[in-house]
Amino acid sequence: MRRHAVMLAVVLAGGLVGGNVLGLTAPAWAGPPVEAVRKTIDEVIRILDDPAWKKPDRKEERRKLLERTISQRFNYPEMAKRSLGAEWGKHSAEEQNEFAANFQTLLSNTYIGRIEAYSGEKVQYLKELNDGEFAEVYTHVDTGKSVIDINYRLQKISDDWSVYDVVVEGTSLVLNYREQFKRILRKDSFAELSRQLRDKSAHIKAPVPDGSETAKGR
Amino acid sequence: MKDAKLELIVGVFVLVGIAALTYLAVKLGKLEVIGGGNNLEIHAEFDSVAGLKDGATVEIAGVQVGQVKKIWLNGDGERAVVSFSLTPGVKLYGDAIASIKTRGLIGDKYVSLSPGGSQKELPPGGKIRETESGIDFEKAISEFIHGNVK
Repeated sequence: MRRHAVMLAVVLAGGLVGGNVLGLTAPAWAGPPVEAVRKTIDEVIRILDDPAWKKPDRKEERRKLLERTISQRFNYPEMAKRSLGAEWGKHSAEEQNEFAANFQTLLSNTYIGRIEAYSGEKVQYLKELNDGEFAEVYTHVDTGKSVIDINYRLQKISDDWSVYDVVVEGTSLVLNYREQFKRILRKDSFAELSRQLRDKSAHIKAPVPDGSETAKGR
Repeated sequence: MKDAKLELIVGVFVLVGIAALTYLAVKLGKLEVIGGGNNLEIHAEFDSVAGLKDGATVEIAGVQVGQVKKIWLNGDGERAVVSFSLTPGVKLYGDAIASIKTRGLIGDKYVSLSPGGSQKELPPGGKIRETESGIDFEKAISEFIHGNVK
């Protein structure tokens, strides 16, 4: 009886420590913004780790599922709006929607290959800054060789938190694109920028990985 | 009579000299004794402001639009709060971003503002929510990480 109790304690302790390191359990201080980010990251990791999804004939389907899961948390229209800055307001709703869709495809194609190359990196949730309407969630991604700081900036929209900017190693995704868009718009029209986004998205689209699940291409 | 006139000239000369020196000291020290009243004051919180000093320049597109007035720790004692004094007429919006940059490789730190363009204009005394703390070679790393458009 006593041996069983000790074994149960060891299993529970192991589960808790393992869960924490993998980011599967939230720290005690975690508020709704951390919970929101954690939920999406856990779901993405679950899909990536699921052997059923690793079959070669399901890779395309898995990519679509990953993109859908991520887009539920990431507010792409808001990211596009912030990246465009003052230029956003000068265009019709139709043009804005088209631009946001192109921007979403660009971001998705830029990152999906890196996400699919996931090979057991650990996510740690460090802290949360929350002023009610906006929040920033600080995380570490431990790749084994190095630790990368990734902060998610979130906005509360009808009781749910959505990401509108990602700050990797102190550099903001929105500011990076805002500066590039400004540079392009100085010379070219908005339509030309939209076209460049489309071309770039098609150009960088990562091929769906084959059966061997390695971290190549990193 | 002649002595009195000479003393008056010397007196005036000394006063003009003192005024010129005071003006020079105020200008070189970048103090705001005259004409600083209408400036717009804005603040922002950073994870780190290592190397940034009081009086550092604040720029938009490379044009100086103000200077750092004060740097202190926030209520939690974990983040740095920087207050800027901006020249009248500068417009910032709710999605403005403040970044700490380095002039050249080993140059001074300064604050670069990207004004943004949301509908909400930042009121005087407002806070820039989005900030980037300085790292070297920001742009190259940023484009490497996030990919570039071209």
